Parts: sequence; structure tokens; C-alpha cells
Amino acid sequence: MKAPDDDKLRKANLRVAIILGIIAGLALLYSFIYLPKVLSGGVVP
Amino acid sequence: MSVATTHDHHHDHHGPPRGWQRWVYSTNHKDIGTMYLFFALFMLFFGGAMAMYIRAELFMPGVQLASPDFYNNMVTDHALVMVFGMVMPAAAGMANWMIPMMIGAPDMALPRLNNLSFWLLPAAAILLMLSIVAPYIFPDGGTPVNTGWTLLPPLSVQNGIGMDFTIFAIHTLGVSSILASINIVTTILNMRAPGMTMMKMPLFVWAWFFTALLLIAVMPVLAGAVTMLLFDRHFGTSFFDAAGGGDPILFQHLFWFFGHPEVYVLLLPSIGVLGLVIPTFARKPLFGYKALVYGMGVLAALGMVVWAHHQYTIGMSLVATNYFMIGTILISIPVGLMLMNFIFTMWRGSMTFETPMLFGIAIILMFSFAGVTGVMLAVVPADMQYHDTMFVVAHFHYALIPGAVFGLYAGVFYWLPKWTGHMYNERLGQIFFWWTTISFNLTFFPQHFSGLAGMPRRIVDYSIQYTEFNMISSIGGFLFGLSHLLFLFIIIQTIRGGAKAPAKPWEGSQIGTPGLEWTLPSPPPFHSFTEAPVIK
Repeated sequence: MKAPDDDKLRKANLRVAIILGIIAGLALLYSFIYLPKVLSGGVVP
Repeated sequence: MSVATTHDHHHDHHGPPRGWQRWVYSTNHKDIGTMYLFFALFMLFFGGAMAMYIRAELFMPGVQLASPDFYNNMVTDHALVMVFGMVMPAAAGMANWMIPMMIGAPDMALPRLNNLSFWLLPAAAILLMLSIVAPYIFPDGGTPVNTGWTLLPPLSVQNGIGMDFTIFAIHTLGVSSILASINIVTTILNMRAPGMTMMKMPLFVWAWFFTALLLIAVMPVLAGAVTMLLFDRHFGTSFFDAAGGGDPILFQHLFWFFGHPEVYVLLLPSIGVLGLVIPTFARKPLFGYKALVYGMGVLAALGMVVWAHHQYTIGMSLVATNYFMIGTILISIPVGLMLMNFIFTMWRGSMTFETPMLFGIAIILMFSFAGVTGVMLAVVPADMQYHDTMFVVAHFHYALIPGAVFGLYAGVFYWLPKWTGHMYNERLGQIFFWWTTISFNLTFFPQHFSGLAGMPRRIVDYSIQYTEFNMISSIGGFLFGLSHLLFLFIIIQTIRGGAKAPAKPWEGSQIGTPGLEWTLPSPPPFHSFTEAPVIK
């Protein structure tokens, strides 16, 4: 049975959480850097 | 067929801690789910009180009760409270309660993070409340937050100190949502019981999987945008200030890059609830389960790339306008597919009409109506006329009240027996359904007409030709607000007692969802699964 105190599972959970956290961090950077650049010369006339 | 073993009697020494510590330090998914749900209930009344003020003010033309700035402050905070404080926490509460039980997990993957996700919410609510009073209690507090929930500059840069509290509240709410979403995705990917494959998961779990992914992708963009706003207000930057080389339109793009997917964040959990309620009470397995899962995925993906349909009037290029129009109309395909699948599930089913099913059917009917006005608004030349009128207000209330809130009501009535161990009073539930449905339509249906006739939104006063529509709307609004006292009564009554609920409170429980929640008693033990559930 997978249990929350299972060390392997705990590490696997942490790994997924960190990957998702990095995606959230990239989304934050995207709003600051990429989106303004694209929109100022792209979608916005 | 699935069988699960629980043994709460073995774990009495691991039972819930007593007193306040049980709640403040809780890492138990059910306790945290309960706190989310009560928080959402409180915010429902808080945001509802603002709505009552808005409808009282609009009952007659002229400025009746308070200043125009206060009116716009209430419009702004009503939206922020209902979106971030009510619908999202209520859906997160249901996710906390049900996802681990449905997939056979002992708890959420990251229980302490779960605690933090919840306890950030009251802090954010306090910040939001402070944003209302701050302009009055601080010297030179400036104007109240009167921008609407879109917080558009340059007005949001000029607003008083209340805007800073609002920005910090949004930061806090954003962190809470992102942490909760990370936890939910991790739980779904890693904590499923052996044999519970992804394509065996109940639709509600899939709905939350896509919702959480959407939140992780778009919530940071809002956080970034309001941070830039904060910098423009206090640190001399000019991200959105044309005088300094910035562009206020950029904020609109950033906001709606978050704001449109947010609509699906609000809708998807309710679609997930619908995917359980309809087959349960039609006593037929869900029609097109895989199509529904893929449909939700397509909806989430399309929802991320059509944001600028909220901004047709800013003067985009023809290519961009056409792209956003066509993309938006394409969304009706997965939405139509979902609604048709629910109708096909009911087709020739042995239907009964308990309260959750009544809400389910009402969602299909009234959300379709919002779909029709949505396609009207997606068409650029038509939208040029409808933009910023009460027609838009009518459209999104038809989308979000049946689409999101009625789904939550359906979920509450569907799961109250499981959560409390008691059956709710069915007669009162049905009275609540008819009361809310009739009064909701009385409130928002006339707004289509006042909007088409040209009544602008977010303005405290209006011309006298809109009086009758507004009086009907206000009477409907007061009745809609009042109906929630009955909702509160039903919940308290069910928690306090009532007929004992069996493990499967509904005849079609196991048909409705293939999840493992029905293998647990009602209410479930403090630790749900302490031994591996066996899924055959």
C-alpha cells in the first residue's frame, strides 16, 4: 500500500511538486518578459 | 467493481486532535475540505451582501444609498469575493474531501502544504476586507478600489491605498491556489490506489486535474501583472503608463490571459460534479466518458488562447481580431459535446429528480443559454454594440451561476449525506432549488433587455427607461439572496441530525461514479484508507 510516510512516495511527490512549481515560476517570468515583448510588437497594433 | 477495507477502530489513538488544534494544525484532507467549504459559505454571504447593496442601489434611477465610488467598490469586491473567495474555495473544498476518497488515497500528497493553502485564504480575505475600509481609515486614503475586478490601469494606478491591499490579497490568493493546485495534481498522479488507472477515475477527478493545471499556468501571470501594477504605483516604473513608454493595453492582455482561463477554472469542477450526478440519477453509466475527458482537455487548452475576445474594442489588428473570434466560437464544440453527452446519458435512463439532479438539469438548460449569448458576444461587430453593457453582465451571470454555483449546490446536496452521515431534508432541498432557479432568472433575464437597449454596466445611475427592468432584477436579486438563508438552514439541519445515510446514499451511486468513495461508510472515518483498496 502506498502510504504517506512511505519514503519513496514522499520523494516522488516532492519531485512532481517541484516540477509543477518550476512551471508556475516560468509562467510568472513569462508574464514579465515574453508576453510584453510579443504583445508590444505582435498582437497589439 | 471495487472493494475497500477501512479500519478506523484500529486507529482510535490516531483520531482527530481535540479543540482548536484539530483545525489550525490540520493535515487531514477531510478537515481541510470542511474548512474550505465553511470559508466559502461565509464568503458567499459576504459577497452576497454586496450584491444586495448593488441591487438596492439599482432599484431606482438616481444615486440612492452611497457615493458612486462606493458603488463601484462594491461591484469590484463582489466579483473578487465571489470568484476567489467563494467559488474557488468551495470547489477546492470538494476536491479535498472527495479526490483522495475517490482514487483510494490515504490523504493528499502534501498534507502540510494543504494546511498552508487553506490558511492563506483567511489572510487574503482580511486583506480584501481591509481594502474596502482602508480609504476611510487612513489619512489620504484616496479613492476606494473602483476599477471592477479587471483592475485596469490607469485608474488602478490612481486609486488610493485600498488598491495596495487588493494587490496583496490577490498575491495571497494566488499563492494559495497555486499550492493547492500543485497538491491536487501530485495527488492524482502519484497517490492513486493500485488498479485505479487514469481512465478509471471519476470525471470530477479529471475535471480537477485540468483545473489545477490551468491554475498553475495562468495564476502566476495575474500575480506578475498586479506586481507590475504595484511597481507602477510605488516604484516609478511605467509598465502601463503611456507617458513613460508603457502601455495600459498590456495590462488588459495580461489580465485576460489569466481571466479567461479563470472562467474554465470556475466551470470545470462543476462539469465534473455534473458527470457524477447525471449518471447517478439517470441510473445509466456516463455516455462518452473518454470524449468528456478529452473534451475537458480541449476546453482547457482552447481557453488559454482566446483571451482577447474580452478586448475587441481596443482596436486590434484584423488578423488578431479574426483569430480571437474564430478561436472563441470553436470553444462551443467541446462545450456542446459535453452537454450532449449529459443529455445522452439521461436518454432512456430511469431518472428520478432529487435535488442534485434538478440542479444538474437546470445547469444544462441555463448554461446552454449562456452559451448562446456567448457566441453572440464572440462575434466582433455584434460585440462592439454589446461591450460594457448589462447584456455582458447577464451573459456571465448565466455562465457562472448555473455553470459554476449550481454545480456546487448539486455537489453539496449530492455529497452532504456522505460528509455528514445524515440525509438532508429532500422537500426543503427541492424548495431551495425552485426558489433559487426562479429568482435567479428573475434577476438576470431582464438584464439582457436593458443591456441590448444600451444600459451600461458599472455605473451607479441609469436613464429612466431602464427602470422597470431594474426593478424586476432587484426584486429577483433580493429573493435570490433570501433563498440562501434556507440553504444555510438545510446545511445546519443536516449536520445536526436527520435520517442516517448509508455508505451509498443514492440507488445509482456506484453507476454514477466508479470511484472508491462509496466503499467507505457515511461519514467516512478520520483516516479514510489505512489498507489498500482492491480494485477489480
